[in-house]
Amino acid sequence: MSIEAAVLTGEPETVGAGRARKRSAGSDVPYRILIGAFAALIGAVLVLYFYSIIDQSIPGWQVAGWHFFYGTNWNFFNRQYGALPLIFGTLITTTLALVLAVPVSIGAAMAIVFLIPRRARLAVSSIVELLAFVPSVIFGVWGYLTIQPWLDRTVQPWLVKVFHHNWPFNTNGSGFGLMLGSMVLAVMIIPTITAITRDVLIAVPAELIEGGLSLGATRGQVLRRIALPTSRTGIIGAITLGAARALGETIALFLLLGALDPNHPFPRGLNSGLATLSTEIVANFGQLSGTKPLGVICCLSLVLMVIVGLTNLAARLVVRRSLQRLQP
Amino acid sequence: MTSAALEAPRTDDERRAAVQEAASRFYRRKTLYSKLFLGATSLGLLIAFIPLFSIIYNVVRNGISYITWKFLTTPPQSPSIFHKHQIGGISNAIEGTALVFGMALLMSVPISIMVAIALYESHGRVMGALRTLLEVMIGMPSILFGIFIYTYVVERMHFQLTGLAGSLALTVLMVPLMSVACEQALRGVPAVLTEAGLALGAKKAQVMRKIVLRYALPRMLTAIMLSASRGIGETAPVLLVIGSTYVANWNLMTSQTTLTTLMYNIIQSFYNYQRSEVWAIALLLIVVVFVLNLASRIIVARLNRGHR
Amino acid sequence: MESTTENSTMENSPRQSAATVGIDPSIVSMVDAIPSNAPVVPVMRLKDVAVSFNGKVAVRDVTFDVGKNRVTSMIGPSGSGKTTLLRALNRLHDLTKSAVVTGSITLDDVDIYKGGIPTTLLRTRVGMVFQRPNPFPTMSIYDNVASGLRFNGIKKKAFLDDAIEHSLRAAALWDSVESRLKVAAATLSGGEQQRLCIARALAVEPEILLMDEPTSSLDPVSTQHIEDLLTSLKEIVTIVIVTHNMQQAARVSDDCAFLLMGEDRAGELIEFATTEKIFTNPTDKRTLDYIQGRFG
Repeated sequence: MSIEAAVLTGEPETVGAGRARKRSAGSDVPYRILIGAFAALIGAVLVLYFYSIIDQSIPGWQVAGWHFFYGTNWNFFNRQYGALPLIFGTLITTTLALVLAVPVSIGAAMAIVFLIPRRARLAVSSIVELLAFVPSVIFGVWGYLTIQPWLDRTVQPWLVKVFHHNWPFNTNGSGFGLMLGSMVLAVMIIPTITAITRDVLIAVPAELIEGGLSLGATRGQVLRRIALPTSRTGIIGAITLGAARALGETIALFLLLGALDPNHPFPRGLNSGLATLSTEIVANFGQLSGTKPLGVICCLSLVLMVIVGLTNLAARLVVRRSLQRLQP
Repeated sequence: MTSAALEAPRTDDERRAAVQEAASRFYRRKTLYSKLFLGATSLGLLIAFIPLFSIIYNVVRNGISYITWKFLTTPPQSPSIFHKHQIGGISNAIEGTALVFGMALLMSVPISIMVAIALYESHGRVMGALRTLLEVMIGMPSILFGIFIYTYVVERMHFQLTGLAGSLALTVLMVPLMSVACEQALRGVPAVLTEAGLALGAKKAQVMRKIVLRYALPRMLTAIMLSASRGIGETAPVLLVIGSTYVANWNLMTSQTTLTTLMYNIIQSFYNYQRSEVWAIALLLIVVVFVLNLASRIIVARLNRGHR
Repeated sequence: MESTTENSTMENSPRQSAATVGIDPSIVSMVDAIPSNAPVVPVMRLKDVAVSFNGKVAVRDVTFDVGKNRVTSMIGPSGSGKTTLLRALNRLHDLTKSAVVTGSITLDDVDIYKGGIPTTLLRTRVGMVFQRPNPFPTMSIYDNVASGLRFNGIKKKAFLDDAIEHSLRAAALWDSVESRLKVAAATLSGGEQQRLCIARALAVEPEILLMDEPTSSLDPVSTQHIEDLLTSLKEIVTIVIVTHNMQQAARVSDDCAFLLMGEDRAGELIEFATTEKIFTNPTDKRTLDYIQGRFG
């Protein structure tokens, strides 16, 4: 189980450790105080984290108001704070990344569980998961210096030849924009989705697979009709976790999305530049002066926090439930 | 559906004949379908592999020629139009990473271990809430940790943009993952061992120190290494609070530059030559991350082999 | 003991010979009930069959014929390779790369391992029921029974409806599920789930049904149901059943194969004969020891 999946699903490695904990109370007072203090410290810091961002966002709400949620004129420098394009940018990059990453990840996970010989399974899935540990800025650099030129010189002329600048390939961009960002973002979330899907698929009881085969099903039929439906909820959870990671991605996207066009705040095609909540935080952080701009940045942070937090909680529930259901 | 038997089978023999005929007629299609399906999954695996290889290939090919002793040990220089290749080295970033990340580890490892022990030892509503909070933090976008440190430490406490603020951001970022992962390592200790200790009359603190921690040490080490390999590659949270510098001054109370923030800064540089220097930094970074990662995986694989 | 004295006057009764060799007469009384006069037509023949994993032999030297429309049981202590052997009969070991099956297994004189019949088609002709009930959890009762037919390209609703009713009736489940065919299979009780799995296997009209300790996870009442079912099922399908329960083998089977783990920890066939002979007058001393409960 990957560290991420293990941590997220909270799977205890052995049962029964709980029993030892209940006994003996009074004799360990200093010990309990010590560990309690650390727990309290970290709890306090984390509460402070939420408090601080919420508190600092108040001046921002005073400036931006409800306009923040439906306004489409985002221009931080000119103090126009309609953040709908940013929220849209966050959602559209993540959606496109999922469209690209989900089939690849599920396919890869199925191949790891059902095609690769058992002995090679650990090695192969470790290699895929290694991708999850590549620092985000390196994905940005790779996208910037390797994928962008490739898109620009190889893919783009071909697209033009085939689609003649028709939607969604209409705007003639620099190669930076929605397509580049979503592609690299997809690559970044493939390991997350693959690792958790793999764990969910491994949990499908062998009896079900054998039951299907004994009815004359081919391996493909068994995977499609039995393994996939059985682990459906877990896979949905895996996808949601991937989405949570994509929603918060900052540096790589900042380097790859190009610039938001104030005249067309919503991308008009796959080559349009755009911005997301998180890229806009980084983009404007250097120019902060006074509490109001910082407040608006905190508003962006808060919205991002809520979106990602809810996504994560939902995913956690789904994954945990499905793993529990499969492993009685 | 040519068979009349398939329409309305009557006897058992007719049924069997009908099913077998249909099955053999369908055999080629289901086999082809299966091959296509399995082929598609293999293709998925292949595609999942490509980016990693592309990244490693490009990082090594483009970066390796820059890595010289001089590059690693001299501070950066500003290139000019006449001396495009005078970019100096990255000693400032190496020093900054060592300092900022080292300090972050010094803070987060002991805190995480203590929090892990607290999570392991107690259960109840408060600890349950703390656990949920930590789990939520693990999934939070990393940039928010930078915002937190900026709003609270830099803005409210009137700190400057310093290396220490960067260390703090990395600490709050790493502690949740590290402590939850360490707690799992603790939970891997068989109940028999702890119960034996308690039955002998040992105090909980003694059982923890002499039995649980000792037993769980390798797994905790891997948990720490994996969390650290996450932390060292982080850019966004550090970038917001750390400032930047051209010198290696070994002073946490001044601005610092780390490998990741340097990459971020020079990728947008005007000078092509300087821009391709990021590959070299990427190479350094990726080697560190992968070594930490692979080492911990090897430890885990060894442990699993020993236990099962 | 009482029953033994009562019947002691009957000459050549199995019970009497059993009593003379010290076999629990309650087992033998079950054997009595089974008529076995019909001529035996072999449908599957095993010759020198051996299964090994990674070069390590798990079971070997197995030679016997499975008679058409008979129940053949495989008994023996754990580790004797019963289940391993059973899974060789529909090539389920194909999933394990390290598994090698040698010797010959023929179905209607076609060697199933020599390419005479594609594996997936073989499995429609040789079905299987497992130790634990394994209904597909995401499917309804109807879809579970229909799944085998659908895997084989039969999608016509009229045919499916008819086949499902037929096989659920054969598995003695129709009356209790008729009104709730669209309900998830997981809502059934353990015994019902196992009968559902039998119905599912029957729906593809196999010639042979392999059963791997089908009652080992069931309560006594459900076990009784399944055992009753077997006697009626053999009218339409040949059954090979692995069981760790000697009484069960005696009650339900016509022929019996006794396997035992040899010196080198590989299982081997000790004796194959009619159930009556195995339980009353076995040829091999080891069979007798096992029947008398001296090991296992």
